[in-house]
Amino acid sequence: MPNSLGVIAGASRRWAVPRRSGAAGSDRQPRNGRHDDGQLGEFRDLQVAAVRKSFAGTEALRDADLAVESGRTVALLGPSGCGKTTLMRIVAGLEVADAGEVRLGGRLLAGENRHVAPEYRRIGLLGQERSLFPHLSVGANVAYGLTRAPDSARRVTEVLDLVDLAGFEDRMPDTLSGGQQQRVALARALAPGPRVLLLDEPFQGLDSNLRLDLQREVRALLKSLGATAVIVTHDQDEAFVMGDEVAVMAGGRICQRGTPDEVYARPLTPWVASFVGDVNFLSGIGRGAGVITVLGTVAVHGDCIGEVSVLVRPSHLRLETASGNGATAGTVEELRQLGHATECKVRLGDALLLARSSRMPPLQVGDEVGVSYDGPPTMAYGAAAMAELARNGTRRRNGSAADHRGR
Amino acid sequence: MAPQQTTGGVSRRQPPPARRRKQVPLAEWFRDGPLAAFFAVPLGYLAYENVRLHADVGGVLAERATWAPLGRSLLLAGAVTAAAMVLGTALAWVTVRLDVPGRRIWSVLAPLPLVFPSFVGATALIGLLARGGLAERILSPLGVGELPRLSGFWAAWLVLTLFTYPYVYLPTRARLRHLDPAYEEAARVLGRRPASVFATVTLPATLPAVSAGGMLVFLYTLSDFGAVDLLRYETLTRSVYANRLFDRATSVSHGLLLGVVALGVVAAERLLARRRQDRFPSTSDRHPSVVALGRWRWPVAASVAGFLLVALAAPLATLGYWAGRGIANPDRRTGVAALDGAGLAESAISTVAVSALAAVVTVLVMLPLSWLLVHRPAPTTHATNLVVTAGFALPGVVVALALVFWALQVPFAERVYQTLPLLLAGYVLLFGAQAAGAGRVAVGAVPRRLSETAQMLGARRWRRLRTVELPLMAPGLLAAGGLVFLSVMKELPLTLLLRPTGLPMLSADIWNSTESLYLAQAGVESLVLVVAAGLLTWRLVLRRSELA
Repeated sequence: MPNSLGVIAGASRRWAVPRRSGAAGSDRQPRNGRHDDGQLGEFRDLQVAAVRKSFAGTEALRDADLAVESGRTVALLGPSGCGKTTLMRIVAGLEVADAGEVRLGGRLLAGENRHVAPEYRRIGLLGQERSLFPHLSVGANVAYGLTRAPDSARRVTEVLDLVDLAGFEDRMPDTLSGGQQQRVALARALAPGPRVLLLDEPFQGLDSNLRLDLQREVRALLKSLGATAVIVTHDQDEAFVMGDEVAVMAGGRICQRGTPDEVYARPLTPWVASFVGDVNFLSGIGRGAGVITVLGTVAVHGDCIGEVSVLVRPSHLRLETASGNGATAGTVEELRQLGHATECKVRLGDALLLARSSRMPPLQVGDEVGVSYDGPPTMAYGAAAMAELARNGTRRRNGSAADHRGR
Repeated sequence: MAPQQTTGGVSRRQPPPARRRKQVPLAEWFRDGPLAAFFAVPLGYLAYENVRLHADVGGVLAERATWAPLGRSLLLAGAVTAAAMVLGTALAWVTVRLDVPGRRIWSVLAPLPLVFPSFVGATALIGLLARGGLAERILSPLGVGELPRLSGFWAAWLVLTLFTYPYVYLPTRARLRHLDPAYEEAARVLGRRPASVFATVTLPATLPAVSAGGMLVFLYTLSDFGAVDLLRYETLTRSVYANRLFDRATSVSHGLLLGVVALGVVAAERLLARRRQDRFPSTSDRHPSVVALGRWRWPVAASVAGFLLVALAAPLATLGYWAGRGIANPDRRTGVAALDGAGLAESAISTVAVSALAAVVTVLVMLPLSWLLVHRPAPTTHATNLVVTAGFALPGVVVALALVFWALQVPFAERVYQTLPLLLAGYVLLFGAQAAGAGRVAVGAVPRRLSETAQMLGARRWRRLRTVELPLMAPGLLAAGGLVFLSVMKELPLTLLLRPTGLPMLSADIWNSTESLYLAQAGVESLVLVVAAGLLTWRLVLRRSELA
């Protein structure tokens, strides 16, 4: 994962946003469906409450709630089929919810007997597929939402400049690369001055380097514009890079919401833990703020008593060639060089643990190693939560086994 | 979904949105009903007339006089369809996948026989082989004596196959061009030889296109009148036409039989198509892999050339020969006296104008159905589409007689008899199926996400249609219009029976000239028709599908 400081610094250099004199446009009272003053800073807060939606008897959303404060970006993270795209389409007005409310800046967009048509919502949508109008030039695409703006040509130049595509007005979409097309689509979504921007898997289908570049550039742009944005993704790295907060979604509802650090370090359920990163679960006996495990006592958040499973991230296991110093002895069963780090599977009795470190001592398969826990206080889960995880299945990441249970 | 399938807690919290769909078919009846009713006019006429004339349908069915023409119609349609499918697929495959010399030229020439109305093609080929005809002139110095006379089943089979196989060729070629080569490459890599790849991958992948084209050929043959009449093959259409004045009961009962067969064929094709789903996603920008023929290059090219010589060059040469001979020796008997350039020009202009108008009207009338079929299909929509498609199989004679009948029966409607609106209505009935089919492709060319994107950018219904949907549909709609245009130019019986007095139409003029044996005039008129149809169809239909 890229360093978050480097992200902002590098991006703001490329996509410097000109400060304009009328930036106080957000104070003005917006008129319905009018692109009145053409400022990009008219973002509002978004509230989605208790939204439900079924398709042919299958529940896609069950009481989904999502609040996004003005100027914040929330990454909506979930596996495919969890309902995140449906939620976005309901916010956009492209689907009608069975129940629940959508408000934007306090204005009711969807609710009991009310459904504002998408074209009147002033919501920007950047979809996952190529959505540029193939028969219109880049300039005409960007100007499409600007019918009532008095000075649309200037505005087109301005937003294209913002996405680093100044001078591309006369190009046709099919002459652009995938990344350029998505930038144009972003410019087009921003041009009419939306109050919230929805990005639905916007970087899917781009190659990974381009994807990383675009992520940090878009992130910096959204921040500098003070945009209210929701980005839908199934990729946890993308969610962590893009979101001020991450909302993890599963089975049609949001199951945890917090900053990326919170969600990663204190996942509320074992499923969330395994969805946002690789995991080991070590069983142990709870003794208040600590759990006695095969690795000794591991500090946990909250109190726990009795049989629990402790979340241990692979990077929080330390391996040493010499046992001792309170480390537990284990055997190396498998080694994998990732380039930036080394992954090692260690057998501890009948538990197989995954460890990952960039400073792993030189090891061979079959070596005896000392294993110890070297991480912050972690989470402990009861038997019921673990059973639910077993029912729903764990997420497998990068092809490596994600679930390493131990005793 | 049955309530007991959900867990108790969930079903209590959420009332199932059950059965709302099935409660309001009434709106769909009103939505789809009018078009279906319009397209049911010919069949309604036949049913009504059968009852009114006390035609003993059961008795008629039992007669040999019915079974024989029905059997001949089906036999001819089946034989022509089989031959056209083989021929069309082979030509498409040769021009797309083999490195034949002159591939580009063959692929441009191969669909052109479509511009011959079957009766013009039949006339030309009969004339070619006739005593004193062009073939005799060329061949007699070489010592060839007696030439075969074109008449009967084999003649009708040959002529109809030659002029209908493009219905198979065009969709199959498009399919082959856009088929992802990855499937064939995978088969090759797995050790299959080219012939085996063709049989196990290429053919199954192109079959949907081949069979769709095959159905068009079947229905066209079933409804063809001109060629079978000239070649003296007694099919149902000929019986409907021949008996229309003096034995109406036979005429209408045979017409009804034809309509029922057509409906049955269309319905059967639907069922088959539904069962055999298209499993080959066919969008690929990669160029199809070309098979190297080696020493077979020239023999294959020669056979393609030889075939096109018969299907394209021979009729054109005959028509040109007649025209040239007439112009060279002005003579009352060959009809050159009647050959005035002004009249011909007037005829050509009014034919093109009427065809273009009919194409625009037909596409506009069918567009809502195409849209509904793609976006909001209901059972009533599919039923409507079935009725519309069967219209293609009804002979122009039946449709024309139906419209004349209603115009003369319904109060105040007699004012439209022999007017342009009634003629246009006839063309819509006959060729609506073509426009609806091509229109579906056009509607399907607008991805839903683009409409939604426009909506999110604040565009309302009308603006979305004008700025996004219509521009993206334009090529498809143009192709649909081109198909109708071509068909209208070629249509004979409906034009003969419904055109307003004093409105010259080339197809009717050619028929009259041929009947009066004014061969020179028929030749000139046919050449004008074929060239005009060829050029306009080229611009509207072929150029897009062929050379893109």
